[in-house]
Amino acid sequence: MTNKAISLLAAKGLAIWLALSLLGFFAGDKLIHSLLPFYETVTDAASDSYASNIEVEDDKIVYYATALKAQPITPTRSLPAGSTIQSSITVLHALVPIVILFTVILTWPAQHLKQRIYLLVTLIPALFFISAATVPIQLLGQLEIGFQNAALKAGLTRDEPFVLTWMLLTEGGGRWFIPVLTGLASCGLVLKFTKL
Amino acid sequence: MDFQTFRFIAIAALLYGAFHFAYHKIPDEVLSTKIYPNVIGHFAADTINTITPDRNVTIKDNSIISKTAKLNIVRGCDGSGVWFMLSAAILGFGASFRHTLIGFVLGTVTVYLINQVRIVGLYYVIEHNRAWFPPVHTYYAPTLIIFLIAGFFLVWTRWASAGELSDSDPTTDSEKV
Repeated sequence: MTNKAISLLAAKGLAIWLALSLLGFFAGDKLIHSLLPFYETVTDAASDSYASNIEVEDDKIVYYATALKAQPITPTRSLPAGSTIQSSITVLHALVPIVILFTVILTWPAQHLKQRIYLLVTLIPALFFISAATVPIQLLGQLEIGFQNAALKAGLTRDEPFVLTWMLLTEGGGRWFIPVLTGLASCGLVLKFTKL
Repeated sequence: MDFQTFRFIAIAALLYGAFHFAYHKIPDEVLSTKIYPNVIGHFAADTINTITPDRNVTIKDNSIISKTAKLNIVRGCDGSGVWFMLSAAILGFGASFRHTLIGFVLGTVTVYLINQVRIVGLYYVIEHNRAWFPPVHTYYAPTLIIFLIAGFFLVWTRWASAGELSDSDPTTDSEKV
C-alpha cells in the first residue's frame, strides 16, 4: 500500500466515522428500537431468573426484570418472586460498538464490487453478535451490581456471577475491542471467500 | 479467514483479557490517590493552567477542580482500555522483538497523550456546557480514539512488516547501494 493509498484510506475512515457518529446521534434510537426483541431474547437466554421487558425511554434503554423465583441477596434477604426491578444504559452507550463495527467494515478497502457486497452482508450477523455480547449483559450486570451493593451494605460478599464479570470486561474497553476484532474477522472471512 | 488473521485475533483477545483482569487487581484507592493524581491529574492541570491561567486548576486525589468545573478521573477513564487493546494487538501481531518493543513504547506514549487531550478537552466541555459532557464522554470520544489508535496500529504494522522484509532479504542492502 502506498503512502497516498493509506492517506486516502484514513480520510475515508474518518469521513465514515463522522457520518456514522452523527447518524447514530440523531437517529440511533430507531436502530436500537428494532433490536429490542433481540435484546430480550438474549437476556432471557443468559438468565433464567427473570422475565424480560426492555424499552427505550427518552435516551435510555430500560430493562424491566420480573423475578420468576425468589432471588437470594443475603442469607436473610431476598428479592421476592414476581417483583420487578430495573436497570438502564443510555442509547448512545449501546451505539458505540455498533459505530466501531460499521466503521471497520465500511472502511475496509474492498478489491471489487462482489467483495464490497459480501462485506455489507457480513454486517448483519456481526451486528447481532456484538449486540448480544454487549447490551443485554450490561443490563443484567447492572442488576447484579445492585445485589452486590445490597450484600456489601449488609456486611456480606456475594460471588461474582459471570454476567457481572463479562460486564466489567466489556465496560473496561472490551465493548470497543469486540467490534474491532469482529470487524477484522468478518473482513478476513470475506477476503478468503472472494479472492480473485 | 487465513490462519495468521485467526491467530492474531485469538492472541489479541486473550492478552486483552489478561491485561483487564490484572488491572482489576489494582485497588480503587491506589488508582485514585496515587496513580491518577500523579500520572494523569497534575499534567492535565498544568496543561489547563498553561492554556487558561485564570482557571487556577488544582488536583485533589482523582479530581481536577476549578471554580467553574470539577472532573473526576475514575477507573476506565485513564485510557487503560485503549492501551490494553493496542498493546494486545501489537504483541499479537508477531513482529520481531525490536519492532514489538518500539511499537509498545510509542503506542503507550500515543495512548497517554491522546487520553490527556481527551481529559483536558472534557474539562473544557464541562466548563462550557455540562449537557455536552455525556455524548462527548460516552460516544464521540471513545469511537474517535479507537479510530486514531487503529491508524497508529496500521502505520506501525506497515513499518514493522517492511522492516522485517528488509531484515530477511539478503539482497535488500545491495539494492539500496
